[in-house]
Amino acid sequence: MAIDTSNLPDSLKFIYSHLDVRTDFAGYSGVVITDVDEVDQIRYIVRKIRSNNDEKISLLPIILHTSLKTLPSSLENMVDLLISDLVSQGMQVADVVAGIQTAIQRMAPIQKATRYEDHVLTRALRFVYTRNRKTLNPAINDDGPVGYVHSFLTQFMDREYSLDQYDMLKLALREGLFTSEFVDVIYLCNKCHSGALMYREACPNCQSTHLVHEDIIHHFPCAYVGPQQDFVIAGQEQDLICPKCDKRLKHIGVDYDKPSSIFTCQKCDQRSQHPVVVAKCCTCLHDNPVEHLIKREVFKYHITAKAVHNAVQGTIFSMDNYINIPGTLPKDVFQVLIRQEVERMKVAKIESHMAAIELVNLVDLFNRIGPDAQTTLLTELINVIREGLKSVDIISIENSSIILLGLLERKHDEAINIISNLIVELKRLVRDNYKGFEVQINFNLNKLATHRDAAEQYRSLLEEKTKA
Amino acid sequence: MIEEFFAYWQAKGFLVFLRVFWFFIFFEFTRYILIDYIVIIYYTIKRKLNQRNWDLARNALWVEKPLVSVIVPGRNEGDNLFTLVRSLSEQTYNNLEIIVVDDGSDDQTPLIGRSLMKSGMITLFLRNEDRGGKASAANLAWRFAKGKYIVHLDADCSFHFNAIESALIPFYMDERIGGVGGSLEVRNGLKNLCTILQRIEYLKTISLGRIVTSTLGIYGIISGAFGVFRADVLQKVKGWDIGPGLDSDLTTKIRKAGYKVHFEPDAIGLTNVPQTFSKLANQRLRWNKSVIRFRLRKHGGLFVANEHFSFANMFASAESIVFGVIFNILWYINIFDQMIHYPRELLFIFPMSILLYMIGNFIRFFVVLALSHEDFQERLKLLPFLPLMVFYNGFYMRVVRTIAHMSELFFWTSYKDSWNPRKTSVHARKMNI
Repeated sequence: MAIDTSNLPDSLKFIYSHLDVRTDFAGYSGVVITDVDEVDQIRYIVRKIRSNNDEKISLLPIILHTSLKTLPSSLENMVDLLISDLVSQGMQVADVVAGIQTAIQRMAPIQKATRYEDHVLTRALRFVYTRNRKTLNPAINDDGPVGYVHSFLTQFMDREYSLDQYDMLKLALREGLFTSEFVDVIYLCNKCHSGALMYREACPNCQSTHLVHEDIIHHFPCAYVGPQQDFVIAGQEQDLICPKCDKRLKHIGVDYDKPSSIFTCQKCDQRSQHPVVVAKCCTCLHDNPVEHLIKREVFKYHITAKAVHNAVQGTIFSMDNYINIPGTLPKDVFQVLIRQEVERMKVAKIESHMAAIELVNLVDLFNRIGPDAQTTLLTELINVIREGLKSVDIISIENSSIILLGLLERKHDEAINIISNLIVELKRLVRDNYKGFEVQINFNLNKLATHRDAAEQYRSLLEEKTKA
Repeated sequence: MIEEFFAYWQAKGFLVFLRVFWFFIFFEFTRYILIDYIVIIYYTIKRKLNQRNWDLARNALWVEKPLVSVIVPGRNEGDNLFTLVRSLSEQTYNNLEIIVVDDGSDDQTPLIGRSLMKSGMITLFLRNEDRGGKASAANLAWRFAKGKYIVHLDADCSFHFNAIESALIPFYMDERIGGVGGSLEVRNGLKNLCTILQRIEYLKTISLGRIVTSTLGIYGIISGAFGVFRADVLQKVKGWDIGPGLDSDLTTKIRKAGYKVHFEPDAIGLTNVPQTFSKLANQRLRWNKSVIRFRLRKHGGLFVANEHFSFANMFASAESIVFGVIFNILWYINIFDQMIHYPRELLFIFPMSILLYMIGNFIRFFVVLALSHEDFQERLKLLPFLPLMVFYNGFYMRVVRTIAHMSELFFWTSYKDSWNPRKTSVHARKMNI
């Protein structure tokens, strides 16, 4: 169908189907999705653009020209303008595209992030900044499993409905990038993180939901207590007859009452008054005891000046003390111990070293495997390093791709040997666990000097370029 | 002074001594010392001779290894449940199901009970939102019990590691046994004077006294705190009726149904006793009222010669009435007799009376010590408190007992006791049960 583009900016890329996302976007100032009326197709196209590694593409303004009356709010948050008529709304499109492009030009190039979370959050901040959005509302997730989705963030994530978005937002809150306002609470399946749950009473023994409830009757005169069925005699079903004293029960509250009820599981015959509540996940069919459900608080977020600053500068925020891997020391403690070692060297005449090991392309792997596996991998890397060191040696994590070592009372040759062996082992570990991925490792080894300040030596170790 | 005292009684001679202290010599000494000693000697010999039977019965128990249901009815007993359950988990006999019934507690009991069930430490936790009384709670637990034997426990008790096994063995020695009572000792027995005196009382009355009555075949109360019953026998007697005193009532029903009841001193449980004399008085008022209510009123037919008449059952009921009620009355008669006929000699009579009871207490306690094993040293420490038992038993308990008997006999006060909810007491009173 021919489209009248007379009122539109020249540099718009038109997409007519999901197949068009394979084409080159370079040089365009915006994207118009038109003639695509399938929500899933629209979502696919938008995500393809937003998740592009090239920020020039991922931040492109997206205009949706559609006859659809309503869109899922999660999708609506990802597009920049929704129009029904390209001709009459052409000026509007031009304004939106110009506004976004101007904001993009104000921003410095994005810096390389070392961690998946940093990478995603920085891109999200830059998206929010270029769209001049001050408040970020979670959207009810009408077609995905996690209840609420924060599209401004998840559009840059590999898995749109991942629980990771909540952890990332928590991290961003702690870093002062947002302030928050409580919206809701969600409960998710502990196996697949889906929020589509069915709540049912179940047997505490076998989890079966096939339960039969009965009232318990207490007959006052003879103190007999039992399920109502005990009081029903064949042929006299309309009456309740006490099985102990054969008297007919007359008046509830006067000669009998029902102090409780009990259920019997039809599967395992277990009796109990306290069925457990289990939530069956409609996605993976896992039965979650409610106390095992994952609980997350949902907020709407207001961006802070710090977030705007980070977005414009393209800088990632600090992740000090975020990584807490067993066997490592916090950075400040590491620095204190290095300072003490320098003092000790002055009197003991010993030789000690400090080393930085940089796993250069590890962030690519982190982006692939997600944050949970990232922590696991880091833990395993640290374990390998710890095994190659003496117990007096110290380890700290500068960031997820730089690991610092304090090699105490080691000659230079010995320290070189240790580092070389560690590099071999670390490469082997990554290779064995992630087929096809070869980690590139550089290192920098400095002998601690007694005439230099320890903090200065620490800084220079990180600033000097690590060697392959 | 002391010389004058003994010279006085020497001068009076044995006949006057007999005339003044007829109650002690003919009743107290005969029943509690003479008969006790004879029976205990007989019991000890019989126990030794029966050792092989005991071993065979134990083997039979382990070969069959039946499911045993432990039922624990109670109200506001949450704090005690964990101690109880732990002692049950340590039992040598471990084919147990534990059913706890919370009779309308208003404390943390539901929370504790549910968490114990969830953690698998008890089999079933049941709760009645409205309190129905001890009997209804026991009946509810029993209704859902699946065991061949039912062990009824109080929640504030804990048990020696072999208590349940020891209580089960008698069932395999004599198939006519329908119920076995365990022995109860005092757990908080060193807390204060009140609990020390109760500890001595429990050793003498409950441990020793019940060995005697059980050996004589007139054992009348399987304690609610620790009793084991055959499930089929409980079915025949239709469980527990409204209390207070439901344990002696159930024991009597089992006897009337033609079964024997047995006291097993090796099945030992520990219980907490009241720590103040006022609380103790309340407890004993309740216990003693049940003698009138159940022995005399509800089961008074045991004294009537009919087709169900049994001497053993009659004596079992008579034992508590005679020694609990009639002995009490005779003691007052003896006191009045002394005051009327020997008003000027009371200064010599009263100290002699104290001395006689004190000697009696020591003689009885020697049996307790003789039957002690590993607890011997502990029990020896109680000796200095024995003289106080004269006042505890002779005056304090006697007064409490008298008040209980009179108030129940003339005013039916047990039906107004808040121990039972009013909704059930009203019906019990209406039916005179």
